[in-house]
Amino acid sequence: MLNVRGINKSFGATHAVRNVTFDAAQGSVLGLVGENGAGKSTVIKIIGGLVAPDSGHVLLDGNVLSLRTPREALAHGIDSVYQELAVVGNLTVAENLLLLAPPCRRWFSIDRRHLRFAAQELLDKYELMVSPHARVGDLPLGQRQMLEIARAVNRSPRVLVLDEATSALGQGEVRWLVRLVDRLRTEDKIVLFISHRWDEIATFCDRVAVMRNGALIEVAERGALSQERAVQLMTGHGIAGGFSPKVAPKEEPLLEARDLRSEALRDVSFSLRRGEILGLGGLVGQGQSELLRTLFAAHELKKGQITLSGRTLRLRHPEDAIRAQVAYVPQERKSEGLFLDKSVAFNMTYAILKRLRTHLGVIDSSNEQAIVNEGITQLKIRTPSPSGRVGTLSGGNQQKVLLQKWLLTRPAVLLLDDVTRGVDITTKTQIYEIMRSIAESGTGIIFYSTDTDELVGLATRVLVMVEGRIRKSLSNHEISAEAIVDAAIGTGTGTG
Amino acid sequence: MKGYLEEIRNTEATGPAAVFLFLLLADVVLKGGRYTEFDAETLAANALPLVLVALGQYFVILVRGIDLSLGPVMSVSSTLAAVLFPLGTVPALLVAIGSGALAGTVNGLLVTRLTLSPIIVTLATMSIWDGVSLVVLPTPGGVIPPALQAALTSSSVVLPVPILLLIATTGVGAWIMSTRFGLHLRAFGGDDAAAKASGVAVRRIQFTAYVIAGLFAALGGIYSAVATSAGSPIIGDGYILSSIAAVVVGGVPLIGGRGSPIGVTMGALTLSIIGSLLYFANLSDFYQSLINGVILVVVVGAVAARDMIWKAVAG
Amino acid sequence: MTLRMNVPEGKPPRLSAMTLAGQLAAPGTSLIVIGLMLTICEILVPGFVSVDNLMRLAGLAGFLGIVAIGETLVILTGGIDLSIAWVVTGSGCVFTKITGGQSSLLTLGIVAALAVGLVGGLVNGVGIAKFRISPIVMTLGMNNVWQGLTLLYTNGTPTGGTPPLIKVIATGYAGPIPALLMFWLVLGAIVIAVLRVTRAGRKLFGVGDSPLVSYLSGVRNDRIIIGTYVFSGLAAALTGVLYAGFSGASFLGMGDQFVLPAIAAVVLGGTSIFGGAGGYGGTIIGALFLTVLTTMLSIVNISAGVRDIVYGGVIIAALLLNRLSQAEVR
Repeated sequence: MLNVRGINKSFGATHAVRNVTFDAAQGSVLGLVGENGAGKSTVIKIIGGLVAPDSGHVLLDGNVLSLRTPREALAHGIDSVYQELAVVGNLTVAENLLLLAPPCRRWFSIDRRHLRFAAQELLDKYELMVSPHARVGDLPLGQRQMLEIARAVNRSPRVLVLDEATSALGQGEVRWLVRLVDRLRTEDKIVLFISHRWDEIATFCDRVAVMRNGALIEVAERGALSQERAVQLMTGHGIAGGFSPKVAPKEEPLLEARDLRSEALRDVSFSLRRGEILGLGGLVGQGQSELLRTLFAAHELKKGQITLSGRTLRLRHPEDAIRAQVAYVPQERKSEGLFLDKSVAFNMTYAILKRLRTHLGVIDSSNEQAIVNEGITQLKIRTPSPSGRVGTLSGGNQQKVLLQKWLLTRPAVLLLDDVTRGVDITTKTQIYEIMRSIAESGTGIIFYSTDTDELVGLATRVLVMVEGRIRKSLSNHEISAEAIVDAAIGTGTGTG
Repeated sequence: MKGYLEEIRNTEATGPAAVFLFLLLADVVLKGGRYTEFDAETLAANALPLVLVALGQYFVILVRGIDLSLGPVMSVSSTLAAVLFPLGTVPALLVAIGSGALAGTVNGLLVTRLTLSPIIVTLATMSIWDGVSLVVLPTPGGVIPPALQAALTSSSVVLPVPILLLIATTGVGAWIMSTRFGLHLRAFGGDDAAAKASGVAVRRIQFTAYVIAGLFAALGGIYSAVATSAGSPIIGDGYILSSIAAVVVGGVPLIGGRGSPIGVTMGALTLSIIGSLLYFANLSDFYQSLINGVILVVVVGAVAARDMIWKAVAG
Repeated sequence: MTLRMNVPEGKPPRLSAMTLAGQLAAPGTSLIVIGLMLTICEILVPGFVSVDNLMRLAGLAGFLGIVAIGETLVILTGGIDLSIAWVVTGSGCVFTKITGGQSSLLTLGIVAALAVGLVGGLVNGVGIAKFRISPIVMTLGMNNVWQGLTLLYTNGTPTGGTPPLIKVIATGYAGPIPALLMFWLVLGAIVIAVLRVTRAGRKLFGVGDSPLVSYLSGVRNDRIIIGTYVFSGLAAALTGVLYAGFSGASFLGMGDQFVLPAIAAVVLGGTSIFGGAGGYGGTIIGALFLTVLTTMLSIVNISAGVRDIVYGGVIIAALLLNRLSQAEVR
């Protein structure tokens, strides 16, 4: 039995994990659900030895475990498969599978033929249709994930932790995983399954632990928890809540994209009107982010045309896009959007440096301070001071700084790339309000979200993308969660 | 043996090998089609120190590091050996080799335990080892036992000894890469976070790479002293750049994780043969450093340009 | 799907940022050790610590300080310039050969010398920013190229002399203060100002902190990076001219003495070798520190070899101290 007792962890000002306690029995699968940012990943990283808790213990069969490094966790029989895969891209499948204990001959030299056979044995054992020779970096994400899961299972761990392990798996691959997990159950292993998708939890788990804002809200048998109740517990309110009535867009066309073609996009054409909130939907990785980035000149356009207010845009560098009053808020705020080591003020003004008042090249500090203070107040950003390091702010406040940075560029078109991911409910609601109000003032918004409810609640039009194409366009009353999901995975009929 | 053969078949070395063979052909042509065993032996003897140092640099570059102190490490072992030989050949060799291990240990500790940048660390230790070699032997000189010199440069034993040593050195490099340690080096260099998460002992791997580099460089210094009949406190100065150049010309990317020791040997041989071709063409010494610099920049630039052109064409 | 911009690979894990106290720790400990070293000098040579002598020392530090301006900018954006050795020597030789000591050719000489630095910096910058060549490889290679070119240009023997004006700036005094010190400090003040309060300075820090974030914020990273290498080349060329003025002539290898100290001055001054944090103020202190160290070592009357050992050892010790003080302050 695995016992987790009183785990606490804070990162700077963020109390990521609050006094979490739960048990997982042998031969069972415990699901850990919660929204992004609820703390599930941190708990799992603590169990896996990647993060050290501020307080609390992890016990296995009654013994308190020392989990200071991943190697120690492995030594105790805890094997974790994270979202950031731990398979090494420039090595082959065989090398990765047997990385820690490759078969050797005399003089410690790796026996390549034996390595291949042993790898093939493993691949057969786990029903993986992949060649031992293949370079892991060349494999699609789903296969890499399966490889890593197989590697972990092969180490015969006591506890297997799967963190969002199905994010890149197709249907057949998910079935493979179900069979694998069933086998583990019969072998009396403990499986921890983390996900933010209810359907996965329902498929795999015996018991479910729901987390919200770092705390464990409820643990129940899977059968005892309905999806509605689970979502309620995860989000703190009902499914369809938190959206005010939509605003109708103006008639003027603002942005027009025609036959966009690039590495990720195929013949994408659409138009955006002033004041319109356009949503991008579809399964993850179907080209939504790439489309936004292409409109921002961060991805190369092979063919096609983009016109803004009638002018054809020649976009070679994001600078061109910003000059054309297009702004892009990236997905990964920590690595793409913000300088975590720099102050709030530095970050907030970094995109509008040209706009700051200067005397002989020297930035007018009172002018800058005024802008920054106004920005902080406007979005109610909680920071001890404008010169505080952005890295110490909570996720929600970081996101607000990032958003304000781009709002300050006074964009005509605002591109939002899954910006509510990992953000708490209050901030999310704020962001929805901001989107609504700037749309009202005429800005066009194109936003990509993995949260179908957001698309339904905010967008006046939704484009569902599949494999780089716009599969379906839904307007107004056509927009519903079912319609979006249907178009994303079903056999929808052509483009809308 | 089969394992080594598989390593040799490794395609990463074919490019550099082709370049070297082409230049070798040019050399033969320039010599009027007559290429004697003596010519080959001379090439091997000239190239051997560079091969050794470059292989050392290779291991450090594999783990995404760089070692700017390998030149002075050569100087230290060269001077130590020359000064200590009168006290006994074997003890002198042991001390000289040990100095390389010590240098590598220092670098390795500073880089892995204190997470200091390899650039600044090896720049500083470079100064230290420069100083040490000057203290040990202020001007080139010392005593080289004739017996040792004869043994290491003789032409008997199946093939000339320098050529044998070249093959042996490359073989050792290839052997290291064929072990689990070599696999872990490539893993770390390719994706350090994934390697760590997979349970690779990342600190130990990095540390050992620096120690190996020091050992190889020390061997290079010893051979250099023996071959030139004198230890020298400045022998290593030219090797700082050439060791990196040999690695790059040998097809090893500086971001680590990839590359073959055979490629590195080919790269070192290429640079050496260019040196002798230039000498043959009667160009003054002044051109030597210029050419070395240009080669380095052009080779790396060509690789980068090729990638850029490839992307543009494939698009 | 790859971004248009290639993110530089192999960037080491970021250290958590230094708090204000942590940032002061680096130059702070340097100041303490400077005091220590001056005490040692005083003990060995009574009367050493006089206003005159200290002024002279500070002036001497100017050569290192000026060349380190360029190195500071380059390191701030996450790069490194190992070509300064022969840019200094090359520009010095060009300057002395063209002017031959005559004032009438002064402007031409300076322009030519600075052109060497400019071209070197441009080549470095383009190779590194556009061709993605590693800064180590690029600048080391260019160092060799400049070495070869200088040898060919001077045919092995540098000739010429330095015009009086340069000699005055390099060795003269304005009252008790060395002209070079004033020149250096004025330049330094400008650099500090540019880094702290101008848009260009902000962009520099941004590029060094995260090229990806900077790119997605619309900043032309490539231009900034090329700019830093150009300034590094110019600073090295300026140092070459001034140092030739100081020695009365140029000589081969005169730039070698600056490479390690310039980088060490920047790092010891608190600028992160990984880029994105630091500044020139610390470098000034670092340059002073290293100059006092060199002076102390020459007074102590030890052989050249031991001097090198101690020099390298002190830098390692200083780096160690920096690292340990960071750990505590965090």
